[in-house]
Amino acid sequence: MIPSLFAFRFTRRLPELLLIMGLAFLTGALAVYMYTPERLDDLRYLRGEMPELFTLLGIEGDSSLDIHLMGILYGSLLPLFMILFQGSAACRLAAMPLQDGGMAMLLSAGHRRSAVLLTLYLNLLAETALVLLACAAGQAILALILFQGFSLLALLRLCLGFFPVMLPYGAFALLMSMWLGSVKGMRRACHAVMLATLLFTFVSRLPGWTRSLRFLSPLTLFRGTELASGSGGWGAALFALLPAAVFLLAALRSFSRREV
Amino acid sequence: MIRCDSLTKEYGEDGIFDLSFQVSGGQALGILGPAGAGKSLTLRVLLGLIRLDAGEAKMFGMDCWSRRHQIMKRAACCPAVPALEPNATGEGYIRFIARYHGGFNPDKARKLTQRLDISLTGLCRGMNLEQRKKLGLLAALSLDREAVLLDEPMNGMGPLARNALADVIREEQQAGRAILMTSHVLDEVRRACTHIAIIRKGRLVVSQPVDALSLTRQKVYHITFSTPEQAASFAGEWETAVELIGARALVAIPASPQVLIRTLARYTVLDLVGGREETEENFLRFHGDEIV
Repeated sequence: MIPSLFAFRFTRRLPELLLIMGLAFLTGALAVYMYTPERLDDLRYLRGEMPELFTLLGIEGDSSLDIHLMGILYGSLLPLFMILFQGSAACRLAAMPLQDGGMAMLLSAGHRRSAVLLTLYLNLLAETALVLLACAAGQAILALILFQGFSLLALLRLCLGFFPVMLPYGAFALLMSMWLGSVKGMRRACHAVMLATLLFTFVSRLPGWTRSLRFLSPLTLFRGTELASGSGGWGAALFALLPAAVFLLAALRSFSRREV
Repeated sequence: MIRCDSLTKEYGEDGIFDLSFQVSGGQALGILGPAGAGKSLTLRVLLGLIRLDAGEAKMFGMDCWSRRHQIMKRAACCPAVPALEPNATGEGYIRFIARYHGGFNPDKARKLTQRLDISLTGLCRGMNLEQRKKLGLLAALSLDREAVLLDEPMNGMGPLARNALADVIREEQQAGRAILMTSHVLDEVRRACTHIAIIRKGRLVVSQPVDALSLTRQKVYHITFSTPEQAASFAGEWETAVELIGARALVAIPASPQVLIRTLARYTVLDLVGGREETEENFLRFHGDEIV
C-alpha cells in the first residue's frame, strides 16, 4: 500500500463520498421508518396482494426489526445501492485515470504497479465500509428514536456480515477497468454483470429450478437470519473473500501486462 | 543513461520503427517531429508504459518495461498534458507529488515557482493548458532526478515562460542530468537542447548536436538574368533544382558558391543576392510543410 496515494485519493473523493454516505444514511433510516405501524400495515397489505414480488425481493417477515431490515434493506435496496456505488467508484479510481492519463502519472513514480492497484482497491474498500457504516448509523439512530428494546448488536452484525459480500464486486469492477480501459465500456459491462448477479439472487429466492442460480451470486452468501440472531452466518460471508481474491489477482495480472 | 536500440512498436502503419539514440548525463536531446511522428510514443516506451514489439529501451542500464519502478526512482517526467487531480489545488497537488515520489527539493520548487511564474492557488480543474503544464513541470523538475523526460514541455506556453523554461532545461543539463524532450518546433529544441533527433513517421531522420545544424544550412541565391530565356538556359544547365520566376532564378547550394560563380560567368547577370538559409527552412527540407 502507498499511504500518500491512499490519503490523497481519499481526501479528493471525500466531498462526493459524504454525499453518498448521506444517501446511505437516509436509506438506512427510511428502512427503519418503514417498520412504524402505519407503514407496516401498508407493507402487509402489499405483500398480501403481491406475495411473489415480496419473496423475490427477499421480504419474508416483520416479526422483529432485524427481520424487517434483513428483507427490505439487505434483500434488495442496499445490494442495488452498493453495486451501483462500487461500479462507479471503481470507475473513478481506475478506469478514468487509465483513460485520462492519470494512471500514467501514478506509474511515473518508483512504485510497483501492484502496489498502485492494491492501494486503489483499499480506497474502494474504505469507501465501501464508510457507506455501509453510514447506512448502519441511519438505521441505529432512527431505531433509537422510534423503538425501544431493539438489538443494536444485531444491526451491527448485519452490517458487518454484508461487508465481505461486497468485496468481490469491488475487485470485479477493478478487473473490468483493467480489461476494458474505457470509462463507458467499463461502466456498462461492470454494471450489467453485477446487476445480473442481483437478478440471480432475486430469482433464486423463488421455488423451483431457479434456486440453483444462487451459486452465481456472491449476494447469496449473506445469511441475514443467522447473522441477526447471532447463530452464525460468518463462514458463508467470509467465503466471499475467495472470489474477491480471485478477481483481485486477475486484475493485478491484467494490470501488470497492460499498456497504459 | 538513456539508451534506445532499434525501438519498434507498430500500430498498423503508425508507430516507431528501428529507432536508436542515446542520451548521456549532461546532454539534452530534443526529439523533433510533426504530430503523429512517434515522439510521445517513444517517451511512453521509456517510461515503461508501453511494451516494445522489438528493440531495447534502457535507462540506467535497466529495461524500461520490466524495471520501470526502479528506473522511476531515478527519473522524472512531465507528460504533454499533465493529468492533474481536478478537485485538488495546485499546492495540494504538488504536496501530493512530493510525498508520492519522495526526494522532492522544496528550495528548487520555490525557485521554479517564481521563475516560471506558477500559480499554486485555485483548483486544478479550472487551470488552462499553460498552468497545467507549468504545474507538471514543477512537479517533474523539483524531484531532482538524474534523468528528466519532458513531452512537448513548451507547447501552449507564452513566450516568457518558454524562454524561462529553456533556461531551466539548460541549467538542468549543465548540472549533469540527462534531459530528453520532445517538440514539433525547431526553435524550442535549438534553445533548450544540446542534441537533436528528428523523427518522421516513426523513423529517425537525423541525429546530431544542435550546433551542427548551422553546418548543414544551405545558402539560397536569387539571380536575375537579362532575359527569361537565359534563366531557363541556366536552369537546364544547373544540376540541382532551380525555381524560375520569369528572368529570375532561385538556387540553393550547400557549399561554396565557386561553381555557381563559374557557371554564371557565361550569362548576363543583372543582379545576384545571396544569403543564409534559416535553420527552420533547413528543417523543413526533412519534413515538408508539416512543421509549425
